[in-house]
Amino acid sequence: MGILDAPAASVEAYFTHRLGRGRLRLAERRLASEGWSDETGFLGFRTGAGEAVDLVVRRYRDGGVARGETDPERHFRFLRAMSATTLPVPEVLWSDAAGELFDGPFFVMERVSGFAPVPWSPEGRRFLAEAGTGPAGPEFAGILAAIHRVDWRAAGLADLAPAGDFATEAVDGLDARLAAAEDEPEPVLADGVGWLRRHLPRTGAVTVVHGDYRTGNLLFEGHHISAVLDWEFARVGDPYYDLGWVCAPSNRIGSDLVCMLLPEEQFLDHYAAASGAAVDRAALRFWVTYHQVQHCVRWLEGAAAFAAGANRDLRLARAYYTLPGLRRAVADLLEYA
Amino acid sequence: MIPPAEVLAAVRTALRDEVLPHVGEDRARTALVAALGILGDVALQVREDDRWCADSASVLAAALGRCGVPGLGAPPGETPTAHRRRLLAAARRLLAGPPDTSCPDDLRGVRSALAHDLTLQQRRTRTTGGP
Repeated sequence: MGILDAPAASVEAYFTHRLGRGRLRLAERRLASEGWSDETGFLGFRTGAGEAVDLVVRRYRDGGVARGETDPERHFRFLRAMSATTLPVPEVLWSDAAGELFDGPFFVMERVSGFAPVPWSPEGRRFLAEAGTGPAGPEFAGILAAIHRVDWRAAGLADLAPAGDFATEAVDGLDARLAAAEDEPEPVLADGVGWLRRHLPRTGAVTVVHGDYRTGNLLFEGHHISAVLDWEFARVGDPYYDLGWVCAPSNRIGSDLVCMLLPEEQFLDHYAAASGAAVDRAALRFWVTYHQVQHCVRWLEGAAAFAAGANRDLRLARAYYTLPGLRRAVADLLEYA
Repeated sequence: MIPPAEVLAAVRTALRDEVLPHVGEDRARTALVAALGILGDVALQVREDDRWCADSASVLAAALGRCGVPGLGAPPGETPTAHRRRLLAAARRLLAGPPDTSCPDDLRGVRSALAHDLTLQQRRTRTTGGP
C-alpha cells in the first residue's frame, strides 16, 4: 500500500485532524514521481470555504535504492533545519514515523510551485543548457555555497557530525558496500576504492552537505531556481562531497555541461566567488572519483534487490544493463587508457 | 546477476500488470498484447552469448601472467564465462591490495586488459551509463 492506496475517507480524516483547519475534502491525489528510493505524492484538499490546501507527502519505501544511506528521521530533521533558513527549501510540516496511513514512514511538506526538468530527457537538457546561460548558472553555485555556510550547530544538527574523518568513513563504507553488492568480481571498482584510500583529502571543512545536489533535484521558475528538493542524503561532512557529485561524469552524460547546466570551470568560478575560497582541485578529484564508484555500487545494490525480488522496479534492471558505461567512467578517472 | 531471459520476463510482467490496464485504445491494446506474446516466446529462446568472455580472458590471462599470478589457464570443462570470472577475481585481488611498486608497468598492463574487457562489455549494450 502506498500514497495512492489509502482510503480517501481515512486520508481526509487524518489531514483534517493534523491541520486543524476544519473538515477537508480530498480533491486531488497523484504521484508526483516515484523516485528511486521514496514515493512522492501530491495531495490537494478543499476546506469547507472552498480554500485550496496543497501538500506534498514523501513516503519512505523499504525496498528503495540506497536504503542503507538514508533515514527518514534524518531527512526530516535536515528539511526542517533548512526550511528555517533563507534557502529555497519547502516548509516541512510534520513527520509521521509510524506511517500507518500510507503503510510506511512519511512526512508532509508545503507544495511549492516550479518546473522540475528531467536532465536525461532531450527537453530537460535543452531547458537546462539555456537556463545555465542566464541567472540559474550563478544561482546553482551560489545556493550550494549558501547551503555550505549554514551553521549546522546552531541548526541543531551537531549530533550528526562525523565522529572521525568524513572521507575515511565514506571510503570504508563504500568498500563494505561494494563487497556486499558485487555479484561478479569488480576489479575496476576495487581499484577505485584503493585509489581513494591513497588520495584522502584533508580539506578540514565540515558543513551541511545536501548529498544529492544536481539539477534533477531543483525546481525552476522561469530561468531562476525556486527550490532545492530531495534532502534524503543530507549529512554533515565535507562540502566537496557536493562539489564532486555536481562535477561527476554521471551528471553530464553526453554533455560538456555539469548537471547539463554550465561548463565546469564556470561552475567552479561561481562557487569560489560565492564561497570566498579557491577550489581545492585534489579534493574535487577525490570526490568526483568517489561518486563514480558509488554510483556503480548503488546500481549493483539495486540490481541485487531486483534479482532477489525485493524490488521489481524495472528501472533497477535497466540500471544493471548500464553498468558497463559507469565502470568505464571510473576507469577513465583512474586513467586506464 | 539479471540474465537476459529473466529481464525479458520482467519486462513482460511489467507491461502486462502496469501498462496494459491503462491502455484503452483498441489498436494500442492489440499491439501491446501481441508484444506480450512475443516477449513470452522469445524469452524461452534467449541464450547468452559468452564468446566475448574468451576474448577477454585471453587478454586478462596474459596481463596477469606478467604480474606473476599463477593458475591462469582454463582447465577442461571451464566455460569462458567462468574463466573470465576467475581472472577478474585475480585482478581484483591484485588491485585491491596495497600498491605493488615492484611491477608498476605490469599493473598498467592489467588495467589495460580490464579496459579491453570494458570495451567488450560496452559493445554488448547501447548505453554509456545514464538511467
